[in-house]
Amino acid sequence: MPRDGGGVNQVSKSLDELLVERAKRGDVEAFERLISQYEKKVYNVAYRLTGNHEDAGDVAQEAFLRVYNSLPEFRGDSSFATWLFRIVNNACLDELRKRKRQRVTSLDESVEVDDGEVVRQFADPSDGPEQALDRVELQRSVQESIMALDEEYRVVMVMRHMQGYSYNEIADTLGINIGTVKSRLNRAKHALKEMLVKLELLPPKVVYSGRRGRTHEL
Amino acid sequence: MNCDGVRDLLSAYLDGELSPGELLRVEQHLRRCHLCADEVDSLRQVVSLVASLDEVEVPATFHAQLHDRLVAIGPPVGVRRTPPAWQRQIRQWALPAAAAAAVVAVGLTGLQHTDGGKAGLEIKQGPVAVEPGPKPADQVATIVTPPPVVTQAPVQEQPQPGSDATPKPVAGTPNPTQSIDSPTPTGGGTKPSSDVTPAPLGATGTNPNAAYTVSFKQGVTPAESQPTMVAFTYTLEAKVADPAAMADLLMKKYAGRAEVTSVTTGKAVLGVVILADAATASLDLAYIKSALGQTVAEGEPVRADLAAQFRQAYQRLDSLDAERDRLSKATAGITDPDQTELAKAEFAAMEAQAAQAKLELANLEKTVAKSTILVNLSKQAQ
Repeated sequence: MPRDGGGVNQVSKSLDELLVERAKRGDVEAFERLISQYEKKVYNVAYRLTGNHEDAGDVAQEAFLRVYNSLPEFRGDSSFATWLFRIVNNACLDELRKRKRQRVTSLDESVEVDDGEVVRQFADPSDGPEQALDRVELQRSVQESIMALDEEYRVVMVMRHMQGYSYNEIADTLGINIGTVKSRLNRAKHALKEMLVKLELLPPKVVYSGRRGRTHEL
Repeated sequence: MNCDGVRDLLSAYLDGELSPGELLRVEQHLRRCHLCADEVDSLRQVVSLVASLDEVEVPATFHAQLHDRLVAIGPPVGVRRTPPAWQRQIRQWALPAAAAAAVVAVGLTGLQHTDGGKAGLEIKQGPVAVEPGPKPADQVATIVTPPPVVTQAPVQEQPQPGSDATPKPVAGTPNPTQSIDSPTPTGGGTKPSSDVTPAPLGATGTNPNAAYTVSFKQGVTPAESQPTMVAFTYTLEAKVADPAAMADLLMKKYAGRAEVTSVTTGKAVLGVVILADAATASLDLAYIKSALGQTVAEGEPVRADLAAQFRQAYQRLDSLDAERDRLSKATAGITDPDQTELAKAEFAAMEAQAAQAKLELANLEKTVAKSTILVNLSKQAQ
């Protein structure tokens, strides 16, 4: 049984506090317990940003290592989760920039050629898009479209629509101003929309004319 | 406002991030312009497609690889500065090699048949059954004088039965020490073991031997506990036309964390064990139930929130750390041989307690990691 000398102060600490303290002193198991509830989420962020498991594993590990090495600077003035994801998201972005060469199908190229070729990649036209593409195929196509975005756009898409950050939080985390967040998300969504329409994953509906400056008001 | 102006705001409009003035202008425009209204619909679908991408599983090797890299770093040195030497010293209790080798998988369900078909899940209390492991190296605890040195105290391989050797937990929280014989779900491949059958269904809440209160509170978790500190077993039973095909389906869906474990030739029951965690268990259960169809019956779930035990074990380690520091200061520079012997003995006792706490933590981790969904499939009578 612990002796009385140390007893009083210890009882008031929360489990997270205890784990953070031990992790700071190099208790790897304590750190692993601390991050265990974030492991899957961080891995998924890395996966959606890199598009494949090999890179996702590397990027996620680098992110966690950076969190670990940053522990001495964690003062507990924000929640651990907030602090962790700030480091993780920035680490992922840094890693992406390092890996400029990625395994991505250049959708911009393929969509410019004969439409039939694009469709053939993903579906047999005679089936009709809805039947031909089952869920797995659909998700793969969406992921590939995301990969076709530049990393700055990809990151904000993931942060907003997979991690649920507000515009302010994204701006704060990445150290950019909120106007930049707005315009990046806007362009990312429009680009994704155009890609998905060309892949016949979205109905075409009415498409804006490519020429900007044309007004259309009823 | 014209379409160009509105078009640049549509993303923020969908995300609810427009200023009140902008919102008003966009809404006014959308009422009159079906072009932009259609664009909003398309963007909404884009967001929906992105947001609904499935979560992928973390590869099995990830955790181990990260662990190795963390261990190689040692204490975190910070990204910007190197802390002073006194902060850098490793201050942790090493888990003695023998005890580490002897940690046995513990789980909540007694998958072993006991007492010939007794109804309900048997959760037995008792000493941890320790497998024989390598003998501990001959090491002697040394006095901790500055600078502190990490040593390994010899630890008995067989913890004493009864509660003397184990520090008593705070009243009301039972010690998770059970001895079971459970299959290891992560081996891969089929393990036919006809003497191990899944636990029969039945109420277990009133089992006087139960170490945990078996009550399933859906969606109610104490503020402090994390999903990854909950250990559970859910059991589903179903009669299907083709058990082998259903097992195959489940194995494919949960590739990497599922295993077919038992074939009881008499009743032709296929058991599929799926590793799960509390955060995603409800999703898994929903999927499996919908796959199994009408004839699925759900057994009494076993669920235990181990956050309190985790906390106790870490608090114990924390207290022991403080104690050790106190002792090392108090004994610095003593020369009297009798006092030296006393101090050595004190330190050895603390080492043993710390080793026990580490063992408990390791067992807790194993218990949580063994959270599973058991699916028992039998053939539907034609």
